[in-house]
Amino acid sequence: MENKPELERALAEKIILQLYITGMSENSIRAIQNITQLCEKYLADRFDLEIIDIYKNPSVAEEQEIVFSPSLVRQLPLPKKRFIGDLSDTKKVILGLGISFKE
Amino acid sequence: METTTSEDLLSEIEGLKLRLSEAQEAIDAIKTGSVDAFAIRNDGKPEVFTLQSLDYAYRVLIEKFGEGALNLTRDGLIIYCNSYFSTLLGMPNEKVTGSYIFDLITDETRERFQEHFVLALQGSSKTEITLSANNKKIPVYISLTSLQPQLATVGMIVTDLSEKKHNEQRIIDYQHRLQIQNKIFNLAEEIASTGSYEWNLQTGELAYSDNLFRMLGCLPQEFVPSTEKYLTFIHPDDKEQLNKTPLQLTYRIISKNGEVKYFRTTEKEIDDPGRRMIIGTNQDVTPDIINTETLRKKNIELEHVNKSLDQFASIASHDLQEPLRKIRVFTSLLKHRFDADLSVDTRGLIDKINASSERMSLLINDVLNFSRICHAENMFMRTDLNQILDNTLTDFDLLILEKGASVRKGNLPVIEAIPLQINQLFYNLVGNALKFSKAGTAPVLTISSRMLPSEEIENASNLNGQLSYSEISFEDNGIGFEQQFSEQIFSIFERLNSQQQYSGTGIGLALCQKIAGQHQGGIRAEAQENNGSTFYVRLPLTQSADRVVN
Amino acid sequence: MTIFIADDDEDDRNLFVESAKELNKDINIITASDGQEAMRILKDEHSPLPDYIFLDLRMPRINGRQCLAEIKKEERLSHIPVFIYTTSRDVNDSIDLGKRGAVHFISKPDNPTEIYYILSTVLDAKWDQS
Repeated sequence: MENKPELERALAEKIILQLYITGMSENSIRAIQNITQLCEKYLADRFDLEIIDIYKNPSVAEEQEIVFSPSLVRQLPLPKKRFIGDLSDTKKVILGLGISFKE
Repeated sequence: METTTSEDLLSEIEGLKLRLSEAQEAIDAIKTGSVDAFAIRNDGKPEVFTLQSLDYAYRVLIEKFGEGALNLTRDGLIIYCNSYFSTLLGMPNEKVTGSYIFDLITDETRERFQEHFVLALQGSSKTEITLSANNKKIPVYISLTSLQPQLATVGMIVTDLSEKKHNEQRIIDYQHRLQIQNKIFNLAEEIASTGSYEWNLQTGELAYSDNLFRMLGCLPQEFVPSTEKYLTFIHPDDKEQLNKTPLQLTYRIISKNGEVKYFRTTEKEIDDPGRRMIIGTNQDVTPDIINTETLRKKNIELEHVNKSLDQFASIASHDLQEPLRKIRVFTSLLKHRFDADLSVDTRGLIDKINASSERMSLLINDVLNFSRICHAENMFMRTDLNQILDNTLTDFDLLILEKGASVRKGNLPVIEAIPLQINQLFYNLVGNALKFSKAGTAPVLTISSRMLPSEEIENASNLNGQLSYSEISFEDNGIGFEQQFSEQIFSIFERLNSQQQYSGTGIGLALCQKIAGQHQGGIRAEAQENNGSTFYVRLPLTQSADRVVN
Repeated sequence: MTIFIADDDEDDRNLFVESAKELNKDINIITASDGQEAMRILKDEHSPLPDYIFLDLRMPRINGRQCLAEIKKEERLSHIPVFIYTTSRDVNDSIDLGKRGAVHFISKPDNPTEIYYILSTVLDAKWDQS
């Protein structure tokens, strides 16, 4: 994605996330569960989550040099951040994503 | 050439640090098995590589799921098949892998397979074929998919249809059997004049058998069955009675063509979970009812006729006797008043007139008795034959004394009989024995009995093989008769002697035969001219079940 | 003495009357030829009350049985001994009529001379009407 200040400002409210998985694995299933729980709990409606199966869409590799499964990528707000694995370390993910804690 | 400031260097270091940490993170993830696969750009083409753990899951799926899975080359060579498939064929997996799929398909379905295989090379296709292995034929449904571009192979999923086919065949068999059963059922209904119906209480649906329609005078399935429609067939006078459920009732219907019939309906409730039904049968009992009714009417008629006949016989005999009495009265008067004036001849003539009228009188009585034997009021009861015999002998007290006769009595049985008739029977036989005695010889009468052995009963055409019989014999030393007349004598009015020699109406023995017949027995005679005679009377100890016994 | 006889047969009536007269020429005999005539005469208070009544069973219009029943109902007549004089030789009739109040059942004899003897016995005897 291009680094456009206007775009950045427009999307500043929402966090855009992409989760890469391979449909069948335990890790992928756990990653899906963890991220959705996390988003519901801490982000409410302030997020956009896309789940992409790299088997079905190997072209995601064109944009990035290498895409792991499972992995979570924060596209916005910049900078891009990447988390590899099943996301079971919730604290790390939250800190990494820079999410402010809600009560 | 650019001079790099320390700021530039620091930011470059920061950037490198970040990239390094990311790379390290990736390596750590791979090491710990937190990643299953990755997509990578290789020569501009993105590719996905799978690591160990993920592959395993898929393998387990393919091996374990209940369908056959194969991987075929474009030439149809099987490079992989799962255990389900090899088990289905009944062949070891190693043998299947490496053989050609075409060899495992029946001749009849191979062409179809080839058509679809060609289609599948470009995309996917589904069809039904029959596999053949170990002389087994296995009907299957297959789904072919090209695995391009990743693999230059065709994947095939195989679903076993045998059970489905088997079940289909079973259904066809059941349907066939059901058809036959239905045919038998319909035939049975026609023969038995029954019609049946099913009534689903929950849905209100009503179904009638074909024969029920016919019984109502309609064509099978001529109209849609309903309770209202059925009510229109019921006889107006009987409508009220059809209010109970389940119904057990006989009532009248009027068929489509106006015929009145009697139906006996029997209903049964079926209360299985999930359905509440009533099944019922209507039986056309019109013939039974009519027959019973006809029989009843005929019986009443018969009773009336018998009563009339009885009355008629009584009155007729009385009226017939009256003039005879007068003859006797006035011939008596003649003799009495004019005794002195009458010559021997004249007196003789008067005597003949008298004798004739006496005979006529006896005849009327005998004929009356004879006619009475036939009908009703004949109640069988326990009868002691010894007592009957004693009574009869008492009746002949005087005659026995006059003739100096001697009677030897044996022990007679107790039987089911009509006492009055047996009385008449014995009376005639004893009377005859005394009457037809030899002049100058004191009559000797021997009466005895024996049980008839079963062979004799069977051989006798006039006896009932189901009963046991006693034979009572009346033996006398009188004038006897020629054996050739032994059957003739039982004919009514038949006489072997002229009226002058021996009095009698000629009815006596016919009466005896008739009485014996009434009791399901018989009578026969044996004699010699001038050397006595024996009369054998056969009577059953008990009457058969259809007789009224008191 | 007065005797009453009801019989539809003329011959039988005549024989009866003859025999009775033979027994006692002063006997007064009243005859009727059917049941209806019989009852009319008997119920007539002006006609003499008979000492004995003889009834045939089979008579036209009103038969002997019915006459017997009527006689027993009439206070004036009920004490008179009633004899059934009939051709019937049925012992059942004898029993039945005895129950209905007849004092005796006489079967008409074939030999008419016997009527004399029957009558002499019958009229001589005392008949208790209790």
